[in-house]
Amino acid sequence: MMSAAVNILEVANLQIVARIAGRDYIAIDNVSFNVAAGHARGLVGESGSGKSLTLRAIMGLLPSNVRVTSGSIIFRGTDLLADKGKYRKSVLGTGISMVFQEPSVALNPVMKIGKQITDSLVEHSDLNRRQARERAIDLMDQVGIRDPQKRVDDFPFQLSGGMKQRVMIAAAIACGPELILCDEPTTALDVTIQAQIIDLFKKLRSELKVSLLYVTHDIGVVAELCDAISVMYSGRIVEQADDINKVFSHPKHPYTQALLSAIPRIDGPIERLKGLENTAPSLTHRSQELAPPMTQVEPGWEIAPFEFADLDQLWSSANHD
Amino acid sequence: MSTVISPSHNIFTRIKGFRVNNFRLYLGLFIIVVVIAMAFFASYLTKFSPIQQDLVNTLQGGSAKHFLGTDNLGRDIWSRLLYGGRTDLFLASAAVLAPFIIGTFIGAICGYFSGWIDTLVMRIADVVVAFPFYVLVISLVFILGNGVSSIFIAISIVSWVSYARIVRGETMIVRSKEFIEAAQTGGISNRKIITRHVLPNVITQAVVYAMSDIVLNIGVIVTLSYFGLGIVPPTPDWGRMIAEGQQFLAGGYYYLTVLPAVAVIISSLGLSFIGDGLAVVLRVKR
Amino acid sequence: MTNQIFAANNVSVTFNIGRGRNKSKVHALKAVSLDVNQGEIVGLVGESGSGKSTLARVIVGLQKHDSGELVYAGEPLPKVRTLEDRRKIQMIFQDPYSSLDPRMSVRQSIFELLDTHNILPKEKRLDRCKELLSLVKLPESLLDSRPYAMSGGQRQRVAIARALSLNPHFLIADEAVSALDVSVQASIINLLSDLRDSLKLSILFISHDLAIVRLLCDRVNVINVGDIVESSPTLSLFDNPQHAYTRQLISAVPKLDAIVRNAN
Repeated sequence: MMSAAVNILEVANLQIVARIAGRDYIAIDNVSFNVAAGHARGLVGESGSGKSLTLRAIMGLLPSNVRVTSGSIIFRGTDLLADKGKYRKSVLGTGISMVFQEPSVALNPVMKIGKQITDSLVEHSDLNRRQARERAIDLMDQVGIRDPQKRVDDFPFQLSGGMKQRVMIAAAIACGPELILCDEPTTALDVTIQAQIIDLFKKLRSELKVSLLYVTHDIGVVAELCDAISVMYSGRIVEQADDINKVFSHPKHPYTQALLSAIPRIDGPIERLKGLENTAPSLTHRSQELAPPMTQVEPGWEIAPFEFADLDQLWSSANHD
Repeated sequence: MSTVISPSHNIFTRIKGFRVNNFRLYLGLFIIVVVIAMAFFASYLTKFSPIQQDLVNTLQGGSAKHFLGTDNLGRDIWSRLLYGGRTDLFLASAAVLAPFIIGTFIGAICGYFSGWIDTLVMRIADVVVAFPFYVLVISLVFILGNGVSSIFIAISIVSWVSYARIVRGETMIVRSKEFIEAAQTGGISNRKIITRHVLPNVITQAVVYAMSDIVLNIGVIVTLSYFGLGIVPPTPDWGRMIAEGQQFLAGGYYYLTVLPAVAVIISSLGLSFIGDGLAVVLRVKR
Repeated sequence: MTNQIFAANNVSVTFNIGRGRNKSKVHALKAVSLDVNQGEIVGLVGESGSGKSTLARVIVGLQKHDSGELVYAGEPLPKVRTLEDRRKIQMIFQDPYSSLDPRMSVRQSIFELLDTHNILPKEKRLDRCKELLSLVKLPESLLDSRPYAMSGGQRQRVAIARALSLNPHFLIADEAVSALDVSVQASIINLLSDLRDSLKLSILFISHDLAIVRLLCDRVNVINVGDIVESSPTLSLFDNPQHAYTRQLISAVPKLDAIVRNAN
């Protein structure tokens, strides 16, 4: 599936099952994708597509009634799922770090931000307090926080949403990770702040050569930031490519086409959008059949069988007028 | 975050969606059903009258004739337990109704309108709650005189506060929901909004609390009658049985006091289990 | 004369926050003015804290304004709205998951309004309900469904049907599609446009999403921290933005350069 580049992360045949009211339901099935070193992959989908669950499976943050039933998640040659996640625990915060959607929830309200940024760094190295503080100021500068010397002792409530997100990102790069997992980091932000954070991600990618796995429902953000894309729908990957532009210019799967025609573009012609009447069936109402294998369009680009996303019933009747 | 369970906000759909392994709830229901059945069918379960004295056969132990023995006045203990249960349980349940209705109403008004009425009423509530519960109830019954109605009034004056607070909190949550604003935008009167939209959505927490309130009331009634207040003899009642039986403990006639105490404990446990179980069921579906 | 259906003239709203020594004022709206003509969809774009939602609530009567006036069809709206006033302007709210009473079916929600306003004799109300459902392209089978059984898109359609049951001429959509998935957003946007055409409805479309506003609205107002900084027809606003904030907003929107739509 991949070209000659080295893969930082290889997810293969991931299947996740959720137990609801005593019964098992397949939440995602046959999810396989790679993140190449120094590249960013966008994992996009609407609500219920399974993109967040996939990310959380990698992080090891699945809810108690949800479990991985098959597949592997290989980072640096070792399966994160093996051995009850022992290897993953050693790698989270150092080799792999995370940036979440709600910084006000992810940050500790009673801990100074400087300390939070270097928290895991201090744990994994032998920096003393002064050195850690210096490092925190460095990192804050790197993520674009002005007057870091003054702000390093601030508490989260003294910061705006955009600032808090920068703090989260500083914490994420503190240990020099190879891969950053992002769970909708800009969704809760205003569009002007979002633009700044996306620029920050771009800058960090080129400076630090770090890889990104970026989960979001916002295709525009993925278009700006990512090299590769995987589109998820109802627990499966319906289309993915190592070159995002190919998918954007000639989407092959009907769902991708529908998604792209539904997005209002500020730089496109002013015309009527094409929408879907309803979202995909919920987890408990889905077909429990296993996902069939993907077909290759060309090396580095594959799609799921067309019958999978039964879009006919979802197409808005208005589109056919 | 993906939506893995879809919430259902209605008390009736929640009851339908029982969890099979809700042990507590079933245990509690079982106990209470048995207890209530025994109290209800008291006349079938014993041929003795609870107040009939038999001064010849006092302080008898358990026998074929008197299942659990007789007390110091020759009254059949098993019969007194059953009929006493009737009195106490009925009173405890009935005494929940008035505070429930009053407290819910007040809480909804305060939560919905806020402002000065909320401040005023909540301060009054704070004053009521500042007194230790039992002290207040006992004093009130003492002032109002003996009798069942005194108990009702005393408990009502004190208990409404908890319901008011619970419902007020829930109302404030619901009030900020957009369907309330939509109703206001549509021109629906506040009165109708409260009765049709707010109350049905806030009442479940009050119902759960009512269960534990009944337990509390059992304790109150039993305590009151232990002190000779409230229920007037010769009406049988567990508290009085416990009080009267005390003096015979030294003589080894422990069952006069212990048996009614055990009855109180079992009933309270049963209701507590129901309350716990209900809370779990309702919480899951929120 | 234009057929102006609604105008807000110099509307100001100030909130007092804090207590004692920490009291301060927040000027949510500072002498804001905008107008909507019959059959127009006018956009109001701003970020969080801009005051756009406050303005929506003022217009629909949920929030009192401290100065300025609201004019509907040439007549000023009174401070305390009558039942008749309520039929003139209606609103679609943002969160489809909390804008419907979870305990009421679609039929009950609509009937409640018809009943309160005494619209139509009782025998005709069920038909009107069905009519409204078909207007918003919902199947009749959903009449007795409750919100929990419906998707976000369906709930928003119910909310629209409910608002339309009072036959308003002016509708406010306050971030009405922001909580919906992208593909469903598009169909609701199309629905609003179609309703404007078929019912000659006037809509004030409030959103933070510039791309949507550009596609849907005839004119656009840009609001920033309580002030409307720019107001012009859509094409000129996007082709030639005058105010620095407008330019900043437009440039911040992510663009998908390489997309080519596939006609399907």
